[in-house]
Amino acid sequence: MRHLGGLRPYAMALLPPLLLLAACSGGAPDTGEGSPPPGRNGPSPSATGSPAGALDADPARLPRDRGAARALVAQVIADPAGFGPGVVRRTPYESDPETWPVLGADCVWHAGKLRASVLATLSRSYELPAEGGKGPVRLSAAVTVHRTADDARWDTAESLEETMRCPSQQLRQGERIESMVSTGLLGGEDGPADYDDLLIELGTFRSDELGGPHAYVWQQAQILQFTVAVTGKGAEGRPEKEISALLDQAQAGMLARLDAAVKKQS
Amino acid sequence: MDELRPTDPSRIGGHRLLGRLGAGGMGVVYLGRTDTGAPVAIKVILPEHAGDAGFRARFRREAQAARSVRSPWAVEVVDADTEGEQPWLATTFVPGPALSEAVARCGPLPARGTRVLGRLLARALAAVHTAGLVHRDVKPGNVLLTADGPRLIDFGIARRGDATALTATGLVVGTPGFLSPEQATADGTAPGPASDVFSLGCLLAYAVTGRPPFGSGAVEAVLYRTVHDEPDLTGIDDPELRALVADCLAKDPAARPTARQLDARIAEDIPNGSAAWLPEDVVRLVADRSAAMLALPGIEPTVAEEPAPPARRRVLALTAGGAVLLAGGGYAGLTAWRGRADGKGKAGTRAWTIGVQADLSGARSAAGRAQERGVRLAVERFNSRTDQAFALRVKALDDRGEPQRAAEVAEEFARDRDVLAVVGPTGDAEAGAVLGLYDEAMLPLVTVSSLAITYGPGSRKSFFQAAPSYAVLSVPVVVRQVLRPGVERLGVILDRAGGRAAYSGGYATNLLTGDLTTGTTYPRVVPAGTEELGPVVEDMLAHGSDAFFYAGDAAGAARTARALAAASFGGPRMAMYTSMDTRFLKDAGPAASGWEFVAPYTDAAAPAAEEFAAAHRERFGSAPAPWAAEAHDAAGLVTAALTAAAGTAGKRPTRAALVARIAASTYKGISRTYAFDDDRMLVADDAHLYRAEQGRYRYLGAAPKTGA
Repeated sequence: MRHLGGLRPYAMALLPPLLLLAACSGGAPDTGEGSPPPGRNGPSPSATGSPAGALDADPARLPRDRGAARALVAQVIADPAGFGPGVVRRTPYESDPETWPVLGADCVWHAGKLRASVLATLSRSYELPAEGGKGPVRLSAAVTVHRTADDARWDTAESLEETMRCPSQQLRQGERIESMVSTGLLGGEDGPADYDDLLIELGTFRSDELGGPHAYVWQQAQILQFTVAVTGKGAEGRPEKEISALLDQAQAGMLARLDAAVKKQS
Repeated sequence: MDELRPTDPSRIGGHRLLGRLGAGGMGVVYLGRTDTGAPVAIKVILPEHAGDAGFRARFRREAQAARSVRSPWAVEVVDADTEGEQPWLATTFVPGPALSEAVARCGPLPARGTRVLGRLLARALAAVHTAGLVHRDVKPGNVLLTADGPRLIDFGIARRGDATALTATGLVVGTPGFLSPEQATADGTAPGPASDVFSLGCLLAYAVTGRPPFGSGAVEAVLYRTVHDEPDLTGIDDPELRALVADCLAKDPAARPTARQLDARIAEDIPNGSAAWLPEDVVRLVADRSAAMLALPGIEPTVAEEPAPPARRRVLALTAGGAVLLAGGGYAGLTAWRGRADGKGKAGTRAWTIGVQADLSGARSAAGRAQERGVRLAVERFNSRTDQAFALRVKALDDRGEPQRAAEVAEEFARDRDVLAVVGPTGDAEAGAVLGLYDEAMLPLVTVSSLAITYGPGSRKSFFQAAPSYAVLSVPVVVRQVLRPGVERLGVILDRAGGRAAYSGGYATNLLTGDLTTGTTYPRVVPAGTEELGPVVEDMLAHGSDAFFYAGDAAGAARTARALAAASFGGPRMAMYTSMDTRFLKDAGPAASGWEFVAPYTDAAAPAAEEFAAAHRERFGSAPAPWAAEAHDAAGLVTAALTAAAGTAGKRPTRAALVARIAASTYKGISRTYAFDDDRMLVADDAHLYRAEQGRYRYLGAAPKTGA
């Protein structure tokens, strides 16, 4: 079973050449390569991507209405300790569960209305505080229950489209992410995995408050009708590796709770 | 050959014994020589059988019958003693390799060579049947190859009476995979001549595909399939041969042709003392065996030729000599010559071997087999040159496209110190599973079709990718699709069904469009298995897409093609080679027309591939399939580096030295020019273009490059 932490080195290994390619106007293909596929040993190029089904769920335990979905989200989403020691809540801690983030045609994020294909969603904000000359790491987690697995897959597809469409995005007033590249790995594409699909996006983060460029990492796992995402925004003295370690720990914990909540009980 | 044991006799009849060729349930087979010096194989029956009155009666009858078998294609019984305390039977000795060994080492035979084999073995069987015998164990191990034709050995003499299928203990007597249904069911009826014809059909299928037609594996399963299933004849491209084999494999013995009818039905000429019916590397194997035999103590070579010469000029001389010897009626045998079975020439010299690790029976076996052929052809052509300081062998191993099996294959190659470099593997999953193993052994691994950028942590010191990566293939896509009049916005469909190759190609195409051109993109990502692409395509058209690139699989490309046709879009449409197969043509129908494809592989119709394609047709009876030319190039690249490393003295380089040579080399091949960067990835983005037209793929030429 491939867990998130195990994938990380591969994703890291493949993204730099992509960044290089992106930075390399004129293409200069002899300097390296383009968009790399993640993971160590993927499928043949003709692989069909039918979902591998990483989780053997008990249909009776899958949420069917908003109430059950909200309860599951609350059960699964990480608390500050889920990221590791020292992580604390930010204020406001939780998002308005009736809103949904939308990336506009102008590549600026704004809050939209919850879409009909979503049963429940919740996001939380956390921080690893500044310490010993290192800046604060802003963290977030989001757990969403879609009506169907297909809805979750389309949500994932849309996330991918977002960096393809907008390599630079304005998160909010005074905060930008740039040079975004993403990589996607289907579960089963690299042997057994605890997700059906995993996206990792890397880029740089700048803010009026913290300056930059700093590392930016977003990763989202999709499994059945669920998506579980985490975000980390770096600061001075906070390398991408440190941020990714925080994210991996929180995401793996949420996936484990999700698994325990819906899988068949023997 | 093993030495005689202290308990072995030194003479049998009038024959001096030289060594042991083998031992079985019925007795021991010795190599001996007659008073006149001719080598013979002598089978001596074990005392416990000799004491069985029923056995002795049968042996007497069969030996008598066997002496009347007269065929140049069956070994001749030259002497026998059926009455003594230790009965024995001597046949002429054939120093050639068994068909099973030749196929295992050198790959399947060409269709023409297989037809020759079929015709001559049919004649041998006809002679056996005319003598009133049934062979009962026609299999690749019982056919020895010589330059002028095959020799059927071990025909039905001194075989167990119950050698039809399973004994009471479940032990198989005979060879599953080559037994007839009547033998496999063991219903008590004795198999007749038609049983041998069925086995011959299995043997011919094996010769031309490398696989028995009822598979291998668990004995019970093979026997079950033999009785109940249709044979697997995929890979027999030659229609005449395919029909012939199918007829031999009729379940009903009465429906099969007789051996004589088979002979009449095959039009192929009989080799006239020439080795032209065999591929070059099999000829070499035959020559090596003959040479080894000449080196035996007690056998004086009547043709003075140095044994085990690697270069072709010597091989040809020796082969000619071997043919003379055989034509002189001297040598034939009872069992395969097993000495130096590892294929070494002289004792102490190490073979120079290029390995092929490929998916030869899994999902991508078409690509894997094409690559095996490409390498074999390259090595045969290299060996046929007169200026090389060494000769090469090919050792192909099937990893079935499975990572687990791939690791086993890599370990086998790493262990085999004869192997200097390996071409392969076919797919990314296998590459990921083996890179560490090849690195550890510092054994050069050159892939042409596993084109991911990363495979995980760890080094890739010995791994070379001899084709543009999935992502680099996006460069010609952008140039072709966007740098043309009237195109402002490229619609990019990234279908997750295409796995990582499509992801890389689609993502990079989107990214590079802005870097390489003034155009823009409109990207859409669709989940794997999306059936309805109409709304996606309409959205893309509504957003001004005036050219399209699809990155995914064949089924999704066909859906995209139909959706675009339904929207009456006639602008530029393109996809990666991962969509370029017969399924796309079939599913898309008329909507396929006009689609273009970028591929790492060249085509038989490419001018630069003309000479290669002709040689491939001659050798394998068909045009080269995709990846054959690239694998041929990879083998060429390796042999060029090897030649440079070996120098004029022909000194064998270490694997590590060869890695360094390949890394530093520039090699002009059929598909492109090869050179590698520090990451061992191909420098250059040469790719090839195809267009779907009238239900087929037409080669357009080299794909455009930046600045073109």
